[in-house]
Amino acid sequence: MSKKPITTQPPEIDRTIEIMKATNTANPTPAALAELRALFDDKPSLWRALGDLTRRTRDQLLKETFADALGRESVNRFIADYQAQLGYADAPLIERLIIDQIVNDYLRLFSIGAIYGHKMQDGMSAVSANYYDRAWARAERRYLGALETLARVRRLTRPRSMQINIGAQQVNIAQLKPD
Amino acid sequence: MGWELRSNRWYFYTKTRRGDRVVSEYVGLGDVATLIEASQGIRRCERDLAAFDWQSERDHDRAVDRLIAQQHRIVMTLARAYLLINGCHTHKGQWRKARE
Repeated sequence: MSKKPITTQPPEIDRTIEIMKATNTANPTPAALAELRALFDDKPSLWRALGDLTRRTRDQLLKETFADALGRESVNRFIADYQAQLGYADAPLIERLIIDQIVNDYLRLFSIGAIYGHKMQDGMSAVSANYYDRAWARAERRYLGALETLARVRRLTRPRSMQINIGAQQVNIAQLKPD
Repeated sequence: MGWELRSNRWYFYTKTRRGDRVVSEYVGLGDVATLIEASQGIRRCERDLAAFDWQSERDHDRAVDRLIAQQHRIVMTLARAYLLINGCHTHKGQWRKARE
């Protein structure tokens, strides 16, 4: 089992972060927004690179948390089911990225819980318990933050449905986003 | 902790801390004391090994945590970027869609 974590960050991410810093104001300039838009539209390599990175991280987390293939397979099925519940199949790229991160954040939370439970059985030092308590708190904040972000992106960027009353019936119609 | 020569004989003492004071306690002499010294040495090695194991484990876990945290930040940054290019902005810490 490899103990060396993956540390490669795609180079497009550095550029994205630079642009984000330039637009991280209450009123970003049109030029900065245009550059961001170009990054989203013209950089399929960015999405591929991020997708690869999250998948490799997930594989490593699974290997480290589950020593046996049966455990890993069970979790893989859970992940597929969780992604389906979050609407992965029909989601746009950005939402899929967030869902992948939600899954990874959840796996990290789960692995800390598994380590903690295992160590409690064998006896754990106060130092170790304190460390894993804080690691759990960090992982939980990330996980909940990712879920909130998915909800926010969907609320603000998906077309809203319009409700029309026809007689005694209420009909919801998906409203097309204006171009 | 160690051997002390008194009246031409070697005695084994352990030093223990009680509050602010360090107290010297007589353990024994001869073969019994030698065995006790060896077992204390083994316990020290075990503590050092456990400390080393814990440090290795913690360092690795921290590296994994940093990786997840880094990816998390990247994805959240991209999500914010996506909201911005879709005409959203923050107002008093809340994200809103710009009025059309």
